Amino acid sequence: MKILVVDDEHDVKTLFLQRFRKEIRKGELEFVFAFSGEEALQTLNNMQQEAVLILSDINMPGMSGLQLLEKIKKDFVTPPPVVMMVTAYGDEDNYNTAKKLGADDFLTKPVDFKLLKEKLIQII
Amino acid sequence: MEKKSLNHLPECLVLSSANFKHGHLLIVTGEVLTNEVQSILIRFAKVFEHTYTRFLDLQKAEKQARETQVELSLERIRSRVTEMQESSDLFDIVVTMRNEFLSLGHEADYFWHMKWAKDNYEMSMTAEDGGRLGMVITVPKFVHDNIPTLAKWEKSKKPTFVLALDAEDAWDYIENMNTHGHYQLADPNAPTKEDIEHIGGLTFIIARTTHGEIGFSLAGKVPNPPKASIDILVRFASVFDLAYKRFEDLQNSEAQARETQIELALEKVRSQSMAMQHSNELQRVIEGVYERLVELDIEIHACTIITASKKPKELLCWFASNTDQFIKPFRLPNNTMLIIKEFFNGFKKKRETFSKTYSFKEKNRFFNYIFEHTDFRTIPEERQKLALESNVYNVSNTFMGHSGIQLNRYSDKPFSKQENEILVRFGKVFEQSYIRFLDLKKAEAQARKSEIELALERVRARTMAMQHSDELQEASFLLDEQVRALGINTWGCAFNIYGDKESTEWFGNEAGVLPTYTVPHKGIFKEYYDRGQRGETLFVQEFSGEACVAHYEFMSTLPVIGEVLKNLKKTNNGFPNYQIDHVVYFKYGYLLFITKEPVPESHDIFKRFAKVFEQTYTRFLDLKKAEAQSDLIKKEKERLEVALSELKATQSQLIQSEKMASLGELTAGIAHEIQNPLNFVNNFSEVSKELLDEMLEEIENGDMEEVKAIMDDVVQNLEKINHHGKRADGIVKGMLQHSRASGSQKEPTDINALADEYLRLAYHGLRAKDKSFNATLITDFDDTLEKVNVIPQDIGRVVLNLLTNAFYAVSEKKNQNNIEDFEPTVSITTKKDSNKVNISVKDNGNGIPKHVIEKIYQPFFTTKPTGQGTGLGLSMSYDIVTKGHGGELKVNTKQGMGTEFIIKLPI
Repeated sequence: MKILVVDDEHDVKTLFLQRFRKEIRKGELEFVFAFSGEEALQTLNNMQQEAVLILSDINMPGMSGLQLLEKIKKDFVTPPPVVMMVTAYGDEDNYNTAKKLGADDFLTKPVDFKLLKEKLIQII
Repeated sequence: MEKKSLNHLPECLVLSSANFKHGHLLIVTGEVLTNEVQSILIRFAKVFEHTYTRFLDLQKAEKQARETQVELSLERIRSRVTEMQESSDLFDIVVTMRNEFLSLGHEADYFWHMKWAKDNYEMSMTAEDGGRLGMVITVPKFVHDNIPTLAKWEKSKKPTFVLALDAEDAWDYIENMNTHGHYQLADPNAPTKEDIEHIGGLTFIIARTTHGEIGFSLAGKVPNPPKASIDILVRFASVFDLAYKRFEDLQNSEAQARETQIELALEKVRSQSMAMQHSNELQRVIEGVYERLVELDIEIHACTIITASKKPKELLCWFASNTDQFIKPFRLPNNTMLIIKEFFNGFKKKRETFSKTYSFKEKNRFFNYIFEHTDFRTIPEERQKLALESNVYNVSNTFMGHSGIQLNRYSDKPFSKQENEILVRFGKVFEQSYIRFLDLKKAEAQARKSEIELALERVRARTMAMQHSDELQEASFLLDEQVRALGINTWGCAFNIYGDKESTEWFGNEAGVLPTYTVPHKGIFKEYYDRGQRGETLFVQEFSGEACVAHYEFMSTLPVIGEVLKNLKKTNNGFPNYQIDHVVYFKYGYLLFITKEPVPESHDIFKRFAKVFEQTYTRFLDLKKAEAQSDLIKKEKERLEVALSELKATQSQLIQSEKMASLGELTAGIAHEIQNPLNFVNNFSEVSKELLDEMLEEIENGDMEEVKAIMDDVVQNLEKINHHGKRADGIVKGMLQHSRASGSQKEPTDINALADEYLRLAYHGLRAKDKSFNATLITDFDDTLEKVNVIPQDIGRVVLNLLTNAFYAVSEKKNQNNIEDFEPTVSITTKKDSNKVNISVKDNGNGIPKHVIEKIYQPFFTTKPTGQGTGLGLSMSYDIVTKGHGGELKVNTKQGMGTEFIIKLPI
């Protein structure tokens, strides 16, 4: 199962690659990165029916994380991907919107990588 | 011899003649004479011859004697003529001629000479007794024309004419002469009608001379007067011709001498008038006229110059006489009295000459009137007496355009034609003098006018500059000084300004100024005050003797001035005993001019000073009023200034709050912006630690490849940490700058970096507020742009403001939800445009409505809901761009399509 990380911050990729260095090396986790919502949708389309876990930032220029979520939940039904929203603004509005749009989980920045690791392993 | 009768004719006649030198003796006999007788006859003849010769000799001697007598007479006449010194002696010739005529044994009553002129006869005649000149008269020619025989003779060449008139004709002739003749000298003993009737007529025996006739009269009608008398008259006539020739020569030279005299006299008058420097010297010129006329032996008692007066029915008379006393010109009003009437008439009609003898009655009516009613009364008493007591009053006048001269003579000698003519000439010369006098007067009046204007102007200028009423003290000194400079001898001047119960007075004179004092509305001051209140313009009060002292005593009881006056009394040993107060009123009080003598001619000037002072004092009062008002205004201004500074403080607070508001908008964005780098720092440092742990393991494992890879990662991480740390630092600095008060310096700034930074801040700021908001951001930066000298945080604030507005605009449009597929887009563009850099912020929102666009730069104008905008954003932005940077802030907007703001900054 591939994990698609969507964030406009490019360094997120470096960070994830290092944080999950061992897991990647062991082949336990596989990451794909997209730097905007639009790019993420394209990646998803390219991945065909592959089972995917999406980890998306909400606050991004252009398509926001929530728009991406809405689109994914609408367009990618089989198999329904697991979408986890990550945001710096852990306010209720965002949380509720995300939940309403069908987000599977909601994480607040700064991301607790230990917890994320557990969750990822659990889901996968 | 036998006596024989003549009746008895003889028988024969024998004529015996004895001749002698001159004739013969004839004897008639009846018989021839004997020889003896004959010889006797011859002897008789001889004797007779002797006798006759003697008779003839005697006769000759007699005739010679007579001729000698005549010749002697003629010689005496001739010598009398030769003795003639003056042409008037010609008149005396008639007396001489008559005497000689009588001495030659002829009979004559009157003897005369008559010069035939073109239109008249000039006649001089002896008195009845013949011992003196009796009459000098000018008779018009027509008087003779009434006597045809006389007229005829005059036209003929016959040497003599006898005009024998009966009593009636004689009287007619005389009366004709009396009626039409002009007497220069009248004979009081001239025959009356009765006289003529008594003598039964008059006979005139006339002989022609070169220029007219001489003649004598006989009593009664004598048709054939003695021939011898006529012959002698003819001989006298020829001698008279000689005399007349000499008379003419004398007259010519006399006339020339006289002419020279007159010209000299006129020249003196002329030069005296030309030397006139001041109009008051005219009296001297007039006296000169009098003196010159006297020098010309014209018998006058006075000379009066007449000029027009200011009033039309009045003449001004300047009197000159031999009196030492100066007589002021006096005004003569018109009157029905004959003398005055004729006088005015002559002046009005500019009669060149007019002379007359007035009767005693007319004369005294005139003098009594002018001594009573005119200033002529000031002439000395003896002159008045002379005028009133004189029996005759002769005047001669000449009137020119502006002036006239009258000569007065109290003797019975009327003014002669020559005298009148001389007067006319004086009149003409004096007219020139008088015109010069008028010119001088005009110039003096003008000079005086400017003098007065200048004095008024000085007082006006001084009082105009007055800031406080106490300066009136100094002004009073100046007033006195200026009035005196005009030749008005004031002793002091004061300003008196009314108060409620008393007036304040400021006094100054030559010696200096008095301290300001008040005078109560009491005594004389009450009178002054009351008169002013009654609307009087000038009041003149004379204080004399004790009244004056009393006035000062009263003044001494007043405060301030009283002390001064008491000291004055001590120094001067008493108070002045004479003064004249001139009180001239104006709206707020009066000016007081004190003099020691009457100055009626200065009253108008005093009034003018009052008028000028009224103007300046009114202005002064206005100024005081304005000052009071300006005090109010000043207080109001201070109050407003406080309000303004409060407002300014409020405004700066508002501006600060605008900054804070925008900062608030940014906070969320900033938090996000900072959060991200901080997260990275934390994460990278954490992960690095893990990597280092891992690296240690690998070192122990000896997998150096892996160690190296990990180390590369750690190095990379450290760089990331550093990068994100700096990023956070930059954000914090920007935030601080944003909130800092203005006043920063311009510095070369990378406009592209600045635009980018604020774009991100703005976007995140909005996103922080509105989580759902999203927009497409387009940046188009001109890479060729060099650094521009700006105050970065100010321009940043403008960019931020414009971006915030742009985001707001697109989000508004999006929230309307009525447009399908609306993609909110905000773009920021930089572009170099010749010597400018353009920063454009563009949105695709709804655009700005027309009614709003005019107001967008107004402070506190906002379209945002209450509490969401301060309304200062664009206003501040506009100020920053235009005033702060000398640039422009342009806006292009299209309803429903969007808005573009362009900042144009000079490079």
